[in-house]
Amino acid sequence: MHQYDFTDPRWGRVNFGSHPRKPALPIALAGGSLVAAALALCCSLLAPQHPHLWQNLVNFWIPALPASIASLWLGIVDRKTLPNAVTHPERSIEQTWAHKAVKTAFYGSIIIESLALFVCAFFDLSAYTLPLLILLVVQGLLVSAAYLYHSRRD
Amino acid sequence: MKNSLAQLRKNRRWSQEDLALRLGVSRQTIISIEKGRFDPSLPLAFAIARTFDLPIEQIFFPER
Repeated sequence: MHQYDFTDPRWGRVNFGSHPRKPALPIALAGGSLVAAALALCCSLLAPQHPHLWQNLVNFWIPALPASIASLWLGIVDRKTLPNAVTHPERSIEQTWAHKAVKTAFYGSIIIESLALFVCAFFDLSAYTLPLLILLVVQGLLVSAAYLYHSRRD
Repeated sequence: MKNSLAQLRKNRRWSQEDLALRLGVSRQTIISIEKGRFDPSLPLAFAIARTFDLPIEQIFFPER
């Protein structure tokens, strides 16, 4: 059983380095900002949307910040230092709920797309019929491929 | 499957949170197992058996 250390910071500690390890959030904030800046620079040079470089940098940097910081934090944090983190999330019921939710959403999307395809075909909306048909075929092929993969792997 | 998890837990005066921490799972998992709504995976079933020092068959039994 993992004993949570109540001196740990709220957002956990990093999973590398010597003890006592550093809090993860400040490192994620700094590193994520740098990663977002690098991405913003690439996008500014490849696909500028404003006349000035600084405008493009800000325009790309701000939206990239949350994902960069969050991704870096996920990569560097030691789960054992997070308050209320379970040791075996794969055994918890929430994992089962997530799998069921994905399955239900997939079946739901197939039904909705099929109904949409029927409606578009009925009203002769050819601009939407072909993309919907391709989407359904691709999803069917993905399911078949995934089934073959798992049947051979397990 | 039915189980005697709730009774075993109460005999030791553990809360659901205590048992969840010992098993490394969420409290909701313990709630759902005790209500018979969730069958644990084999590793979790073995962990439960080890925790209570009982064979699995004395904790989980099929519904008739």
